[in-house]
Amino acid sequence: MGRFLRSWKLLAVLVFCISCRAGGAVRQASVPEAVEMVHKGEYKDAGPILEQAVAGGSNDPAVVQGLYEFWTRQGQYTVARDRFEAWSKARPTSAPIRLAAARVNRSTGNYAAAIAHADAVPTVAACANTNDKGNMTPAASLSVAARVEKAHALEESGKRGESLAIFQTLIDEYTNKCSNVWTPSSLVNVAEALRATEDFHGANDTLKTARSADSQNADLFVLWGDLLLEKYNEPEAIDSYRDALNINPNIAEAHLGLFKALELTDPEGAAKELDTTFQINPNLITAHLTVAASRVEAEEYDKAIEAINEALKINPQSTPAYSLLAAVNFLRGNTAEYEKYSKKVLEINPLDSGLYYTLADSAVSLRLYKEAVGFARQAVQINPRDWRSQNILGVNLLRLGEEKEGQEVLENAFVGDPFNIWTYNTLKLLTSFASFERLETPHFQVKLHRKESAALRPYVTETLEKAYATLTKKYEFTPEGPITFEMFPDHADFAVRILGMPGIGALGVCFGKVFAMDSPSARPPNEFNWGSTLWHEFTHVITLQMTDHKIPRWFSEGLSVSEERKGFPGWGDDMKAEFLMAIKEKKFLPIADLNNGFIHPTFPEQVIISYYQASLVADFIQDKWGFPSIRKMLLSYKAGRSTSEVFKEVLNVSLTEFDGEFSKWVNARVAGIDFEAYGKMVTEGEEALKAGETDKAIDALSKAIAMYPEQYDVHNPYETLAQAYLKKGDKKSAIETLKKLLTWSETSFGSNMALAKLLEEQGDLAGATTALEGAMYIQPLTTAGMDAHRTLGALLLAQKRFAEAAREFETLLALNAPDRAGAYYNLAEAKFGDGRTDEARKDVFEALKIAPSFEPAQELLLKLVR
Amino acid sequence: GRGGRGGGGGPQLPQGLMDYKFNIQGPDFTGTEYSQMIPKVARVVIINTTNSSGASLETMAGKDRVLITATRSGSEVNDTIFYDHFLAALADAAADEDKDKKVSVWEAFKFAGDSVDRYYKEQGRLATEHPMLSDNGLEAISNTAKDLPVLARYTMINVDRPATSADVRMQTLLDERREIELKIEKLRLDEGKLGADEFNSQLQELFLKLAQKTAEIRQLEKK
Repeated sequence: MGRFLRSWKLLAVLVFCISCRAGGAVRQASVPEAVEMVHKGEYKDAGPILEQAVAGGSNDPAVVQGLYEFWTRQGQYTVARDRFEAWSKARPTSAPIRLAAARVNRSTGNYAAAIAHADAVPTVAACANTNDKGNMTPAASLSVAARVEKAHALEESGKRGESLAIFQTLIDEYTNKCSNVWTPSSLVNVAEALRATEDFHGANDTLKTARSADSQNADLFVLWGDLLLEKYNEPEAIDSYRDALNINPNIAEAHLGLFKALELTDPEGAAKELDTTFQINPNLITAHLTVAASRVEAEEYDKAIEAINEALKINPQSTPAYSLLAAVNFLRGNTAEYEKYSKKVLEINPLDSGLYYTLADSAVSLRLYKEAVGFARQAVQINPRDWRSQNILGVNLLRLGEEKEGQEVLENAFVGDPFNIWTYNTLKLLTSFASFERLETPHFQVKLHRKESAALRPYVTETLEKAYATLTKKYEFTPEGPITFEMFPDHADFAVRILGMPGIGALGVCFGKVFAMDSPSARPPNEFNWGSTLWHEFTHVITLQMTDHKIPRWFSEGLSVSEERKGFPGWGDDMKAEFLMAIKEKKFLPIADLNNGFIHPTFPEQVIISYYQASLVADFIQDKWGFPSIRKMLLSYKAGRSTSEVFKEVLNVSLTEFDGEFSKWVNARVAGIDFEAYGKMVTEGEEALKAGETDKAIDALSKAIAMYPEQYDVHNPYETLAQAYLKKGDKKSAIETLKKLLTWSETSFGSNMALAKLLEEQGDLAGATTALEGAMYIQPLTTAGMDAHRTLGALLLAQKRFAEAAREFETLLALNAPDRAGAYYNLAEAKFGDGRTDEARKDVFEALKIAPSFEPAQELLLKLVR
Repeated sequence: GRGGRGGGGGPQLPQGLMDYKFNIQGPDFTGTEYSQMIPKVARVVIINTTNSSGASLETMAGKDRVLITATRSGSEVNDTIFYDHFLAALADAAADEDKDKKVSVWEAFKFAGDSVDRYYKEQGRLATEHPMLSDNGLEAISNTAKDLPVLARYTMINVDRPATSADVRMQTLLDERREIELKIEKLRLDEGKLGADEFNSQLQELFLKLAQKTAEIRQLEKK
């Protein structure tokens, strides 16, 4: 019988459906099905069913919650608020409706209304009410949710004490009495309370418990993702957001979380997530504010304001939105507006340290470290438990050279937030400073690692002072000291100094009064010129300080590369093939967008291309308007002008006009270069040389160089051409060829050495010396570098340049090069020549200690005692 | 052949240690067996630059022997570069640290060891070999040792003939210079018994005398 009945029912359903389709209509889902559809993100048809149910009097918490989610997940906050407000008036005792009204009012900034609605939900002690299965009753569950909602609203309106008291009561109820009766959704509420009270491990554990009870709660996974992201655990945050999206692929908050988690490691993937976020919920406030913050970082303030206004349309009381508005106006120098919006934030929430955190963070993105410290101090004053502001304060104090206070602040920050990897890494780096030697020059405080300081010290201090003398004179500007310079033999340590995290590609960084860079040991030989990097970074000291840090990134970088080129022959990037192709393929950006090339590159090489473009802009301005115009531009930036105002005021051109003229100038430089023909000539020359057809090789390679002299990178024709000349015995032409190469290249160590040898053979000791000095900026610490030091020392001695010769032999000794007795003897010779007789005696004594029968040293000893 | 840690081990090895083996056709000889094959003469220098050659320190070192190995133990099993650098030391004047125109075993070892250290550092690689030297059966030392090994230091790779002259005046000067050199050596051996100031003062005085004596020799040569 039973079997028959089941079959009959199945037949009836089948018939019913067939008839529906035959009639052209679709069966409307039931209310429980509509709730389920919302949970799965199938919003399209669920809303009207649920609205009809609630309007028809349903107080079922699941139905009301489903309708709330239907509206808010798609950004229909106003509709949701109007409806729930109306129903609240009509059914003031309906706890689910009052809870939904509280939530949507909080989302839209009506904190007082949110609190009133939450208060209208009867408070039911969690443990007092259980059903026959021993679980918390729906009334108790609603009460927990309403109390959490109220606590959030109180926190957002500046009543932190009351908020924390509510959270703490809930936590006490959970931990002290009846943790086993809590429903999965209430456990999520408890996790929120634990997070709000900084018990992050507790929150994590509670979410684990909640997941065991209900693994299909998408909100749980979103909250978990947020928690993990807040605590710098991106990989697991990504997993959590993806778990949420497996349940409901249309939760904008989860896509936004993925955007944030992927932003640094997978920009393309992150961008897709942001697009999806807005497709699902075009009104998601946090998404608009995320975009706004990004626009602020790119100095696109108008676009930032557009995004902020979108957020304010939904929540006109959003303190994060006003904080960003304050930041934009601060960065634009609109003091009155900045003060207005700051005041607005503090009126809404007097305890919102986020205002000052946002200001500090925005100031950092524009390299305004002093201002960042000031704001972070205010944030910490308002909320001493604002650990991220403590981090920003500590890190930026270090950037200002305030090492002691910076370390103290970071140690305190780490106690409060031991999850913060930036704080941890920076503290670890500070500990490693014990391995650094600290020394002072007339204008710098220098930190060099002990294992290489003796070898680098003479060169580094000399180059620092040379850069100081040259650039302060040129820019007619004396930077404020003390200026701290640090050199790291471990690139990961250098990266931590910059960002608190290893894994960046930069070679150097400047914070205005502190600048740091890789040491030659941190990089593979022949890929790095430490001298040009130092020069580049010191130029930033000048341009940042001269403009009160208001210079845009692109202009600062452009001037630094441009000054590199003038610092020493060959320094600074020139138009190698990568850049030539960028010009030919029209990859240069308009000036108005050039900052994005550094901050938001759209293809991997764009950062390096932007450096080169910016340097050409700096060169072009100097060519056309003269160097004084550069100084005027810097002063105009200092006065707070925008880039378009600076160009108009100083150069008398609009940005569009400038782009046009610059483009013509750049295109003229590449007009005669046919890269394909060039490549053929180089290959032809190389093959001819291999085949022994030297004249043919010389002809082809010379033509290639004439067409495209700036190609100095790998596979350049210069070195092959020099070999061809040498094969013919034409040393003079070989020398000229290598000299030309070294006017473009800053990393051709082998060519520096070869040129030095050829020049020495020709008796041009000064020329050979210059070539070897160039080599010292490339490989000062390697075995090959030792040979260069030895030869350079001998050349300098021969030219009676005793002080410089002494530098070379001191370096050899510091490098523990072979023939220490010889190095001590030569050092003694150099010091004797330099008039430092007492020091010379000590050195010759050291030579004889190693080699008593070393006759030249014995002879010098006799000279010294006469 | 290649070096390697052998299985088993000779009876004279401490418990747990395996003897060195050099891989050849047929049964491999162990370090113990090689040690027994080497004749007992006044002074023997063994330069073992195979991988795992450090394992031979246990069995091949001994009295009147200088043993140089490319690695510090049998566990360093990668191919070594020490030998190339040791050969370079014999051809490079820079290896003659004390400028006596002769390269001692110690000088060649130190030059090669320092070169190996630099090689790995510059390549950014973990060093997979650490050359060692056992002097007269004493505990093995590395190229950075501060206390220099006596036997290795006074054993020259080049032929070591004392300077002599048929001219009596010259021979007298050469003998006097040699005497000063010996005093310098003795003073060095007594360094620990003297204070630093006293040691340096006496050494400087001897250096000056040595320089003056050399000047006299060169003066006489010119005549």
